[in-house]
Amino acid sequence: MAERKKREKKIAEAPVAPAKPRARRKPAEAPAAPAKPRARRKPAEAPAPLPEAPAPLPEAPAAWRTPAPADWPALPVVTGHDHIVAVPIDARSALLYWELTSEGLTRARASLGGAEHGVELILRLYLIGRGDETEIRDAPVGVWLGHRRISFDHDGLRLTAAVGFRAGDGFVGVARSNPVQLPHAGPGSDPVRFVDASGARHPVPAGVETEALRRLSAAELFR
Amino acid sequence: MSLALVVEHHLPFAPGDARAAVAATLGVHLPLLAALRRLETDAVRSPLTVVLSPTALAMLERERDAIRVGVETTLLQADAEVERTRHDAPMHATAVQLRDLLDAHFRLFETLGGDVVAEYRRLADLDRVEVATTTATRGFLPLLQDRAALRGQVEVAVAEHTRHFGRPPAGIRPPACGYAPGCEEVFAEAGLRWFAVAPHGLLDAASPPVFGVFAPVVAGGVAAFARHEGLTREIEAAAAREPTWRLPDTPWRQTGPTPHKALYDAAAARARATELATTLIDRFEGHSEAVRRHMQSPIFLVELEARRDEAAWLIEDLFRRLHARRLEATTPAAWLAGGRLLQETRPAPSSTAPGGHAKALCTPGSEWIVPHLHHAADRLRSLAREGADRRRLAQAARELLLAQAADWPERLHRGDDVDGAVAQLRDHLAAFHRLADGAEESFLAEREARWPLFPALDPQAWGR
Repeated sequence: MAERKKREKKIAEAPVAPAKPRARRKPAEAPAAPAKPRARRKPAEAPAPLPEAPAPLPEAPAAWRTPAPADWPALPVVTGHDHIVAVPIDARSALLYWELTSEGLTRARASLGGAEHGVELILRLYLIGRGDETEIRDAPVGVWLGHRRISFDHDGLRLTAAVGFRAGDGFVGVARSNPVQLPHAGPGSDPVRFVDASGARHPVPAGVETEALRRLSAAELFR
Repeated sequence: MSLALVVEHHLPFAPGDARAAVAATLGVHLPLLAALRRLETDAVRSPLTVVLSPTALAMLERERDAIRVGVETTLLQADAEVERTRHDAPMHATAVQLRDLLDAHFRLFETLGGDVVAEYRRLADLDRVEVATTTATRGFLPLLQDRAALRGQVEVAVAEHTRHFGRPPAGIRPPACGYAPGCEEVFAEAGLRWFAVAPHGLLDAASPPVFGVFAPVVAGGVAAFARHEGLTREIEAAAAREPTWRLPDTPWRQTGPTPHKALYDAAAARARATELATTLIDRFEGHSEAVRRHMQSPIFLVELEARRDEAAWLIEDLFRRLHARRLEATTPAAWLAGGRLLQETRPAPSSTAPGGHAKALCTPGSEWIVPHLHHAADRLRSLAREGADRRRLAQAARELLLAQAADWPERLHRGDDVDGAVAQLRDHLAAFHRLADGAEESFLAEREARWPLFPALDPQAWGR
């Protein structure tokens, strides 16, 4: 009892942080799903180089300056240079986000040679599968600042994205993304190599089977 | 054949709010340290790998006085509960058991002088445990992308670990074992010798993994270990559903979704932990026999959640069974010291988060965070290269590290105080930009006082 009183006294004298109620609410609402990109298959080709910027050019029309989405937090996200970034999310999806400046838009528009009708701001995806064939997919975006999640039917694609103007069959990019490799299911086909603690290479030890333990590991993984 | 048991503990950095630190001290550290001390007394080896996040270390260090008050308050509440249930015999018996458990923890807390980190350091110095690290603020590496951002999270974690333990960590278990190509180079630069990856990170590696998950592979000079999913899940299932174990923070047992609740009985829970340990060691031996037909010295890495007394008893009994059967327990660093030949390959991008990749941390509700983090990291790298004012840069780096914590997208995903999480995240990002813009001295001093994290932080990690 004396010990208890001692504890009570000690606690009464010590500062205690006030307890804050912990609010719970439903998960953040997802924005509307983006329009499914249109797929167009083309023969293997390297992405077209982005045009050199002719300068100086007039300012982009105000109509192109779509405001940032309403749910975008009021933080300084505008960096002032044209870019698009690709981030792998899983084996079959990636996040793309981009920012285009009025200068970049104006230069790209001028490169279209003055075409006025049917000009559309799009995301162009260059997808390379295991067969090394490049598939090109376009998706209209319409905004100079945004992010979009793109899903694919196959895993393990190599992806590069560009954002720019499409007019008829022509495309002029304003920015091109980093290339990303989406994860694939199953091991790769690189040769099997062994190293010791010093990093020196060694041949595959005698008697080592290459499949049995992988199968055993996978059985544990999915049982 | 070797068994490596790994436990992880993380606390978000929340100065002034010691509730989580009190719960962790009572629920994780004191039961675990008590178990490790009993094993030490009985001369039973206990090579446990304890992953302590740098923010958890910061909270345990900074909030020591508040933790003491919290521990004493909890004990006082347990005393009061014993009094309150005096006329309800079954409830009273449980209340007495819970008070006695807490009392034992409190006595250990007093013995340690309230410094649980010092006890881990003592055990590590005796090679009785291996203390590993995770990223500085639990930043999820596959979504950070930028090399400077990865370096910041990893090098600050290593520096902070070194400050607490007097030597750098040998290994890192990134949050959710998140791996993307290039991480291994950052780990190697930071002097790490091993890291943890998800099992499919090894199984889907660039070259077929000859030993599956039963040996690490070497990537960029650093060994990548994957956990044994079967044993890990078995322990997870026991922790979640074992009916004799206590429903956390209640006097009830985990009886599942039924209106018929039963009172907790510590002796029954303790006995069950012993039974479970025996079953798990039997299973480990069975698996090992199957694996040893194909390789000589497999290692089984098993992850456990040590969030309660029962988990600490299980860990204690696992080590006792291993000792009794003369089976080898090890840690990743000790196993690597054996100088075995290892396969050299690159793991596949992977994580142990739901879905196996970044999907659970980059949901439609939280993906807007990613561009903010990339822009801020880009800006910090530029400022560090320009040689901006070091003090200002260091605080900006703290704000960025705090914004990069995976805790925010996880809270958004779970719906756990979403407004609070978004407000906190925005506060860190806004402060980062204000500091990067050259904020006035008073603002810098205010942020330093409010978010006093990682005193040894070197912002040049972002500038190299």
